[in-house]
Amino acid sequence: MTAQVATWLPSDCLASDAAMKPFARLIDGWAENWFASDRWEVVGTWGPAVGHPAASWPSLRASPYGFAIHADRDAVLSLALDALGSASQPSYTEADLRVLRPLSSRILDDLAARLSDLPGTPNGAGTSEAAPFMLGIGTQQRTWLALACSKAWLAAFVRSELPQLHTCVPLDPIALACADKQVEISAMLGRASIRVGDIRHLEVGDVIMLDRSGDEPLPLSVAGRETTLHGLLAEVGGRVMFEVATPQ
Amino acid sequence: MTSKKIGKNELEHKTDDRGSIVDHVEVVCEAILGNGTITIGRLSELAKGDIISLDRTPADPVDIRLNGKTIARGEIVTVDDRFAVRLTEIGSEDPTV
Repeated sequence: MTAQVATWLPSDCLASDAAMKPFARLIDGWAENWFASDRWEVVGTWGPAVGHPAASWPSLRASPYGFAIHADRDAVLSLALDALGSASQPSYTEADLRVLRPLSSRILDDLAARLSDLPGTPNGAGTSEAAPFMLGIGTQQRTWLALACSKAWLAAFVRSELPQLHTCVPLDPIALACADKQVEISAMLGRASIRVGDIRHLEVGDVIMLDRSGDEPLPLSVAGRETTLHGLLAEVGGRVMFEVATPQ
Repeated sequence: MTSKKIGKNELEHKTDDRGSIVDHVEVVCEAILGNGTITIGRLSELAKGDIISLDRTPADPVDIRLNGKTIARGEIVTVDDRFAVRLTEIGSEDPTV
């Protein structure tokens, strides 16, 4: 499958919940996996890569899906130190580097893997595509890493976060001719099999047991006939509403 | 008045020996929570999450219907995790019932 490359994204979508929430969740999970402190977070919102403070950092992980992780090399070693519960230090010995480099690499690999697994990743987006957007990752004190992404990748995520549009099957000519006709619908709580003799003797206070448990979706009847549509009951504005739970 | 449970797994049958020749016949009653109207076009487009307004408030009784006719009304209760209806009205405003 080839991802559709979006040629345009509205500028206000870059700071929208749809564009930010998946990455905020991802960074929370990634940081929880590696660091004892909970200070890691996304910094700011998506913005143009041109002029971004992290634009000059090298790309340490690049993905065929259309994103790259940029980081200052010293900051990467600090990632490993933070994972070990140590503070950043001004210089490193060879022994330090032998420990810190593999650990930093694993932390970055994990972040790249989590990004690749995000739902909506546009499988097959070109590696050569420009990555015009950047998002900082770090703490309140400092941006340590930055995520660069293509338009196609970001557009795919924004789409995956938005409510799914329901595509209707076109009505056949007969159904189309009847489309404006009103039909009566009923939400059925359940059924009970009762003898005619018992019905004759029903009294106020009698309890009729139904065939449905409290947590089952209720069927919708159309013109007196039960359909495959099931739903749950909700109260909106003091009225009882039927919320469709199963598609047709 | 002592309430009686009727329906599947009923605890007591109320029919006595003096009933009519059809008293033993079992019929299926439906408990209808609410009604509404909708166009066929809108009905064919319904998808998960769509909401249809019904003609009831949470305080209104549910109808017990037999062959589409309301024979009683009552309030929803649960008995052993199953829905049940405790009758509050017998009969219907519909003069044909």
